[in-house]
Amino acid sequence: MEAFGGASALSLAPVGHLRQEYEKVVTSCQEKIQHWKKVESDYEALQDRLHTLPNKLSYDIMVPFGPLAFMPGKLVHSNEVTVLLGDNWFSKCSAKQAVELVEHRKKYVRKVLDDLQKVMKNFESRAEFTDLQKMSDAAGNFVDIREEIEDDSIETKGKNRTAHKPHSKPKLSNVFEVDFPVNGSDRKSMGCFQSEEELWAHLEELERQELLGEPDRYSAAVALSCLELRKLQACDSVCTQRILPMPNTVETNGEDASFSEEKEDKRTDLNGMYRAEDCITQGNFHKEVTNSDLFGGQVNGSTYYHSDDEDDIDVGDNSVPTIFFSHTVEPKRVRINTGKNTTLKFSEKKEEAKRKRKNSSGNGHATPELPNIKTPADIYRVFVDVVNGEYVPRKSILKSRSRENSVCSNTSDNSAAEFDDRRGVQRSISCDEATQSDNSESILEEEEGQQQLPKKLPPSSGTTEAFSGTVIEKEPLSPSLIPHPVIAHPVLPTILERKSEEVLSKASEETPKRISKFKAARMQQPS
Amino acid sequence: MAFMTVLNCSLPFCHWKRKWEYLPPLPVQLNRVIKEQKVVVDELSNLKKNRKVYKQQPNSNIFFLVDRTETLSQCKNTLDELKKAHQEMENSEKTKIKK
Repeated sequence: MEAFGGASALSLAPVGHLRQEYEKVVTSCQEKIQHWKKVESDYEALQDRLHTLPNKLSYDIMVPFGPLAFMPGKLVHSNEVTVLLGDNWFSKCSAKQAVELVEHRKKYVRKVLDDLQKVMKNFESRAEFTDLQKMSDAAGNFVDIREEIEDDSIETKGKNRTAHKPHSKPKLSNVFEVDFPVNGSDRKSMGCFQSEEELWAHLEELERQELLGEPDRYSAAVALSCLELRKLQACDSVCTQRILPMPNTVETNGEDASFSEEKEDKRTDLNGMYRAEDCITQGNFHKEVTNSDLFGGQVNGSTYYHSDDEDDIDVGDNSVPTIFFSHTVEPKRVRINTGKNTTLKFSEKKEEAKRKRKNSSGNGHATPELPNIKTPADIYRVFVDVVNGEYVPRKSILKSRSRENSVCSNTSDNSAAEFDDRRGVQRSISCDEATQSDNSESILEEEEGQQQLPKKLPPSSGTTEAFSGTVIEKEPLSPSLIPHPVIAHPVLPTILERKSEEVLSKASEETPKRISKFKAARMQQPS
Repeated sequence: MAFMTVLNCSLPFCHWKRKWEYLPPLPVQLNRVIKEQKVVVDELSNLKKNRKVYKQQPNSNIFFLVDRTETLSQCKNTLDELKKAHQEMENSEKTKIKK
């Protein structure tokens, strides 16, 4: 026998081990065979006994008393045999029938014996094959052919998979994929950018398309992708911040300017100034414009500005166009007609305290710090007004019957709640532009007239221009304001709103005292 | 008074209560069995006439009364057979060794 490349002398150790295993099997088979043979012989003897048993009426026997003692006795009823069928079931039958039963059992025993014999024979032959000494005498030199694989890369196509543990969920990959529907090709957000500039340009295009082509729908995917990309950029690259020039400087905004990622915080910047800030590395006016258009409109205290309004913004300016909002100062007292001839009043002290707290902290975040509630009493304290030293619980604004006639004319409580939440949310951290856009749609449809308001208002104020981007809420003296059935953000003193309004009161302190038109409308109603 | 002699059905198998017990190879077993048979034959032949002989039913504790002379002859026959088998085995081993 020739030796192939990679063939080596046969190693004897594993073969010897194999032979031992075979021999073990053979010996165990032999033992079993012996046992079954004994069983068979016992059955045969029994059969013989049963054959002759009915010949006599009784037999003299030694009756066993326990395992060791015996008593001479007689075996009577020689033809009645009780046969154990298994599982403690017995069958009473004659001797002849018992003989047939025994024959049946012998048949099974023979079958088992035959199988064991076959197995033993099989393993004997295998053991014989492993007897290399014997075979080498007959055949000659044996060589073990081995092929050593050196290159490990070709082995498998796929990754080596490990089975999951039972009753365990597979791990989700941490990869985040951003789909750009325009291109039709998926882009992975992590490290697959062709170039950042191209990506930003692409984003701008998408946003512009959203604004111009589909004004009714605000692409959440684009916004999300915007956000995600920005977050990633903050991680991957150094963000250069652009502090935009602002006519009205607000102290609290300074801190916000330093954070480029906090788009949400910008939106919540309700001290009166809203800046569309970008943390992009390239100076891209269009992008800023679109962003400011998108997000600036949402922060309006009363309305969500349509894209038409955003067109009014001077896009072509070299300076970054921004929309600035100023909100009214917190009125000292706001009466809310809750129906049933009851009015709720603001807790003036509470509001002032909150205002002071906000100013002192200098926190631009309009997110109201939730009161530290540890006990149920704390809850009551938060949701309760102090009137004349007594605690007056607040009624839910949703239960107000007069709301049908009031500015917030939307009778469905859900939508009103949504508006409230949304309004508060807008001034707080909010990432859900989709819902806002959806809700804003309904507002837009009904607030066509309202859009004119900001344009009307500035002329009445002495300081601002026709439309410089500053929206000021006027006193509710203009008649045009009242009859508008507007589903606006009801300026009801929800907790979030009140607190957020205090935040923005900083700048508005300078301006004359103004009440929101909605509040004013409501105030006028009982009169 | 009849004393009884108990005859065990001695066969070259392990006790029925102990299963899968290792048994010595066949020639060794055969020698043991032959010895046992010899003892049985001697005992039976040396029994007094008034003794009863009981034979055990295999795999049970029941002893049936048997005729002494009959059992003696039976035991002698089995002994002869065993001796013959033993002889044959020895002969075959011898032939194997020779080969």
